Amino acid sequence: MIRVEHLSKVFRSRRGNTLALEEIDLTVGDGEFVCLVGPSGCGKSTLLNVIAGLEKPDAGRVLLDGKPITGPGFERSVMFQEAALFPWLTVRKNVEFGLELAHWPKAEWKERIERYLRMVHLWRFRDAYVHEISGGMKQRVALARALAPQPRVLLMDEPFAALDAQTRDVLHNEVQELWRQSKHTVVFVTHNVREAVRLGDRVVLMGSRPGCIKEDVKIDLARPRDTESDVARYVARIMKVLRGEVEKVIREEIDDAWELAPQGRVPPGSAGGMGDGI
Amino acid sequence: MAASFGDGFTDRLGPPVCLGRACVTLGSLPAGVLVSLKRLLLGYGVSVLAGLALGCALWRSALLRELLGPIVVGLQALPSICWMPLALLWFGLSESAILFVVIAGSLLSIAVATEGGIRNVPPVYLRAARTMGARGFTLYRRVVVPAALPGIVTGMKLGWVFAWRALMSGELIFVAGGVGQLLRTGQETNDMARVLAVFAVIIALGLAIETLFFARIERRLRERWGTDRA
Repeated sequence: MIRVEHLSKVFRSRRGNTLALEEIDLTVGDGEFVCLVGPSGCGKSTLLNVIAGLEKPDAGRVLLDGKPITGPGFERSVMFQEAALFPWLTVRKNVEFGLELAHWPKAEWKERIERYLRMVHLWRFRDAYVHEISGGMKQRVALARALAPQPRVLLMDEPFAALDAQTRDVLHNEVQELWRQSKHTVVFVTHNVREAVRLGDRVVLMGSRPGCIKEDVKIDLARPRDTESDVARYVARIMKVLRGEVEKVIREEIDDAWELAPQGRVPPGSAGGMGDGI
Repeated sequence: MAASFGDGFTDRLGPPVCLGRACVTLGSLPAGVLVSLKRLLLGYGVSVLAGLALGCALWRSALLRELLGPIVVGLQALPSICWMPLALLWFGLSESAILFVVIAGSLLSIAVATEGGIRNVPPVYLRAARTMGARGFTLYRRVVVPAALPGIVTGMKLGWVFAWRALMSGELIFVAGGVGQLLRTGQETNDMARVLAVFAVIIALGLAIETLFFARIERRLRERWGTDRA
């Protein structure tokens, strides 16, 4: 179980300090799939980085099974928007890297590498170098690399945001299937509400300036979830809250002279593509 | 222009046959090459190891960078042979003196290239490696150095050329065996064929190292990273 307690994080820069996260409290149960959604700048990636141990909080703490997190560790695997595979290693060696650092006995490497590369349907490409495979395949390898050392928690930071819609759709199905089998605890950051509703047990909606949790929506839909049906209902409900947050961000990011549309609504489709893409 | 050299120029240059004969008959050549190569490998080896370490340290520590950065860049501008007087004062007419000159000539360029190479590594590689549990020396050995290798190899190539030049100038100036001494003797005995024969050997050695060693490494790197595709 992940417990985030009264977490605050300040970003210091020459132009002054920004409160990236203020007094965040969040619990993610074992085997739960929680999606963090919010406009850019709401601190959702920062929150994930703090859980990963890549960044230190300024106040509060994160506990994993009751133990405070002090730094990165292989029991918490992270997937990034860029696959972050090592170009000097083959697909197979990239997966092996994770096993080696997690101190898996050498005798088991071969079997585990094969199992996880088969799971993401890339066993055939085991000896390819990273530049020889497509973007979707890279994220699959990254998923295999993240899962192979058997982490307690999988942290995903917009892992599919850079992929085309079709590839993303396929990967959503695969992630759902893998998660159904393995029941990892997953924290998944995205700006795509559809993606969040489709994958998550819970969608945690974050607001910005300062980063905070606006709403925690439990998604009561049977799995596997396809693209349409009830997903749309949840998406609409979440988008209603989110739209206000997006407007707030846009107001701050552009010059004051710019006026929002008369009703104060962000025109459809301008909300950073938050609803589309499935 | 050609007239001013007169016939003496071709006399002094000697026909190619003489050059070939000089190569064959120059009994001291293999021994000289061995002496030079030994110095080169030793000096260059130290330069590579120390240069890598210094480069990593410069990247790692902002304080070190502030303190040493300008000195490193400044000293790089100093032709390696300028170290010679200092080396002779410190070590006397010894093997250490010439090694010192070779190291001084090549270490800094390797360090600077290493630091630059690491600086160009996308931070996400390091973040990814840290989340998998890589820390300290493992992080450097398994991620930082391999990721920066294309830049580091460029620096090593540069370092090799500098080391070779530093060695030749050192051997020319203070005579202590080696290829440089052979050149010097050629000059002193007025033996142009001998000088040119030594030239040929120096060029051949340089070419051999480039094609057998550096070119291969660079080709392999390009294949792996996919940078050979336009």
